[in-house]
Amino acid sequence: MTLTLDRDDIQGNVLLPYSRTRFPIGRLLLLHQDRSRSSDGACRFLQDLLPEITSAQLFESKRTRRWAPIPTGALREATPVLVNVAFTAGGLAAFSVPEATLNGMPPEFLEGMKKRAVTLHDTVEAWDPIWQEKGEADRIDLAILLRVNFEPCLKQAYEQAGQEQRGTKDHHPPAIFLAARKEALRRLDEQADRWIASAGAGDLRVLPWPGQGSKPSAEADPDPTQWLETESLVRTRRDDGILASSGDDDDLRYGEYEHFGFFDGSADPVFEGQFPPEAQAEAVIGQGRLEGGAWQPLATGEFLLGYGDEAQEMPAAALPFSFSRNGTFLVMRQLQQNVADFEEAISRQLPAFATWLGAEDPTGDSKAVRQLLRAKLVGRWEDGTPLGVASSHGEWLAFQAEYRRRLDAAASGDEAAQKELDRFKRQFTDLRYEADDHEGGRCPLTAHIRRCNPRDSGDPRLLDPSDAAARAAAGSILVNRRRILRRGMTYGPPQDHRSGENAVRQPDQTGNAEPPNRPVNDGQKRGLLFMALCTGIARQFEFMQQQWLNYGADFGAGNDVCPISGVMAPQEPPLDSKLMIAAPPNSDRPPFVMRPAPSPVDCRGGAYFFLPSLTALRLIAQGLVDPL
Amino acid sequence: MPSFDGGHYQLTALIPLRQERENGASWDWKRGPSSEQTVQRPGSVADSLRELLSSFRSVDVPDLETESAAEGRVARAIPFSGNDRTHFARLVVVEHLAYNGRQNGDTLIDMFRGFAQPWLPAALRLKMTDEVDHLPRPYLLILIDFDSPDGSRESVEKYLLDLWGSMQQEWAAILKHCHGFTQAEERQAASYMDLILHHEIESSFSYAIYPWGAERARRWQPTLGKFRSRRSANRSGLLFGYIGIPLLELLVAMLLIALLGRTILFNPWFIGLSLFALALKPLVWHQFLRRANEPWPALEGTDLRSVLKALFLQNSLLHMLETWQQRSVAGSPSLLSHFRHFLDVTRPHDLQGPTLKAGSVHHRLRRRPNRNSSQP
Repeated sequence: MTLTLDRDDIQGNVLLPYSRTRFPIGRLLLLHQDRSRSSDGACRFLQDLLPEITSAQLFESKRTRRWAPIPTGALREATPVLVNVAFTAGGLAAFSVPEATLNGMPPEFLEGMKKRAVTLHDTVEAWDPIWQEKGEADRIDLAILLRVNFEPCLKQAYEQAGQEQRGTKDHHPPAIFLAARKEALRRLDEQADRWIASAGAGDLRVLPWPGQGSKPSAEADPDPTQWLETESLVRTRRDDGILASSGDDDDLRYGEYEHFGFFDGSADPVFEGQFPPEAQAEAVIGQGRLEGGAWQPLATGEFLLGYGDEAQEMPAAALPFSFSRNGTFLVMRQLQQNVADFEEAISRQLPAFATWLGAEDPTGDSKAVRQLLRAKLVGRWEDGTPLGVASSHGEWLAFQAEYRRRLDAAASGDEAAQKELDRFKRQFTDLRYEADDHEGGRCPLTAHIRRCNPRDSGDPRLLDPSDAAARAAAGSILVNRRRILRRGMTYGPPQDHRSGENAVRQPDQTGNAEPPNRPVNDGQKRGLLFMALCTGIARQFEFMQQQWLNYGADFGAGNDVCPISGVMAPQEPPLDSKLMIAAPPNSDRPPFVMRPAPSPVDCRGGAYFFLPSLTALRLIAQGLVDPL
Repeated sequence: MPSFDGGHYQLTALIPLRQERENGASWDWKRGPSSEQTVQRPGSVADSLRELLSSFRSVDVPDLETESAAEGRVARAIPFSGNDRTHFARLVVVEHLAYNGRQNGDTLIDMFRGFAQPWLPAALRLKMTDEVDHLPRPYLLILIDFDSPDGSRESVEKYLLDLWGSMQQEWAAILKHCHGFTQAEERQAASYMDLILHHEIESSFSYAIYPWGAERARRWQPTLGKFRSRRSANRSGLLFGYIGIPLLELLVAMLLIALLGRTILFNPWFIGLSLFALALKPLVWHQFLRRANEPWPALEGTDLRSVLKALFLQNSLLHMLETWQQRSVAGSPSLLSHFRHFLDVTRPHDLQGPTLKAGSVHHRLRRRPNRNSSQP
């Protein structure tokens, strides 16, 4: 019998991510319960909040409408603002969850991220004060996550401007777009103010965030804010290039790109019950568990408490069952991105890389070489195209052209063309490293995406890597218990690449002048509010961060760390990490040794949360959690 | 051969600890703030030895708080790093045998045992409590893997003597906790050898065997000796020994009876041959076990010196490659000339030449490369 999850009992954003284009602006509020008062006020506040919380029920959307057997009327419209709540271990205690229940929680959750800093190579002293929780009164208890629905805002903006909204076009005229954004912020303000006032009445204090603005010096923060605002990065039609729909070049949309300029979120695990059965077969390709050459959905218990996991065990969780079931753990990390440092390291090594490429890329186009080097660090091109699909700039352009052609064919509404397009899009996720690229000639063995999700690499049953048939049969057995659902959002203003125009242009050794758009360190806070969901924080998130991102031994790369999000263990003297870029197959060139920026991503803090089911939220709010 | 495989000797010894203080000898390794002062503290011998063992350095990163601050001071060495044959060493205090709880019997059989309880011999009767095994006293477990040419007693003795030469102080401090170690300083070397060799136990588990690495190396250079797993041969041997031979005997006997009638059973030739076959069987079995116990041959390049040299070459090659990569394009020396220089400097086949010091992986290998390093 296939598993049908009770979507109304699970909080939203758990099963499927909230779209970053439809729900582009979010707010994270962290609250502290005043321990000198009883928890009654806080529970009352939670009771008030309860009816507004967004569940995992499917929304009406372009995507869900295609899952045919769901009657269209059964899909509901998304609310104007989506609301979700999560608790830290201390927060559960503050809401009077019995100790016997809390003791059943996994130790890493009870300890919290701050105490796990050594494991994660985090430097707590460098964290933003809000995450440091220095005093008893600064403890983070509760997180409220808001996301605004952008479509009604757009609709309103079009109406007010007296214009007709043309079809389902992605890009919108700047005036309309900005008016809609203003409306979205207004709606968020309204909601946030409402909940802050209500929380205050329930003895819950909003913890202050450091100001978001430019603050190059380390002076005291004059304008703390009440929330961390996350907002998808805006893209012009020009930015989207060949894949953009027709329209004006300056038209705007919210995109899924992160601050380094890469499409983020191509891959996300697929597990049993997550999709309606008819959508699962397509979704699981490249995203589930690879066994015997076929993709299967992962076990539900890897991502949702109360169900069997990949070891056919119930994930460790607290009693009563009704408290844990349909809940999960949320790992939150504020990852600051140092775009200028990241680009600087690339610029520095670009001439050597161009020389190394030599005859393979004779165009001498420094932008293309730069894009290739950037792609080698991540394992995907900027638009998410995997290196396994297109390993040279020329192949990438051809891939984009083909994609465009299929998009156009499908736009006519032809069912067969749509199927073709779906099949084509599988290439973004259906990757097998052992079968197609076991030496890393296309995608380096220690590129970001190979580290985060090694897929079939390192299958322990693969004894002789020179045996092509055995490699083709490799599965993802080593990876199945280390997956996380990613729900991150960008924060902070985008890096202005034009701000570097006044930077001194230094001709390099090859005589090519650096392009004038080299980004400079502008002191702005920007990055990714990393959010991951899993049932075993230590087994899934922490293992991945520690073993796969902060070390390289599993990939035969010693202490090398991930070129994007790895952090070396503090050592004296400090060591440099490297990325070995193997030459393409059948090439006699030696590999290229890339030295990435020492820390392109800095963790500025984080915490572990429990994201309860709606049943559990009710039990907490009513004080009915009973472990016996 | 037990304890010896693939050119590596797996020394395993269980040495009983002293049970009482003998002139406070076990405790005098603990130094006070001034290094001459010794500290007397109450505590068991096992705990004292544990504390001593954990005070030894096992990784070559400096102790950040205490040592890197002391300017110019070299990090305290790992005791075993003075020896370039030791692949692996672990010293542990063992106090308890694992207790897995009450052993569950078969319910059905236990029921019958219950019925027959009064008539059963004491050993078969059901008991209220299981017996729990204990060690009479704590033991020091020594596990060391080292390069040995032939696994002979002489080679083990020679290794132990070398080891004593490079870490005499440490061994003396450790063995002072053990039963039977001499107090007289001039006889300590002999006492150390006796103690370890006398308490050695057989082992068939190696911690430092590199078949996987050797197999990878062989793929690059097929002339190297091939590592062959005996697993399938052993399995088929066991199957043949336990099932094949008895089955064959049975078949032959049945065939003979069918062909020649039952009288064959009383034929003296038949009886003689059968007795001979019975006598031969243990010999065949013994031969099979002997073959199975034969150590794997030493794989080329898996002795510690070769491993250290390989690690050194790996890092030097990377350094060479990076230097070449950063070259200016016009008129710079070719990769070949860089490589020639690399060969001249590192001398790949010369194990005595430049190499990595045992036990110092971090410091020598992974230093921050100088981006403007000179061209060869």
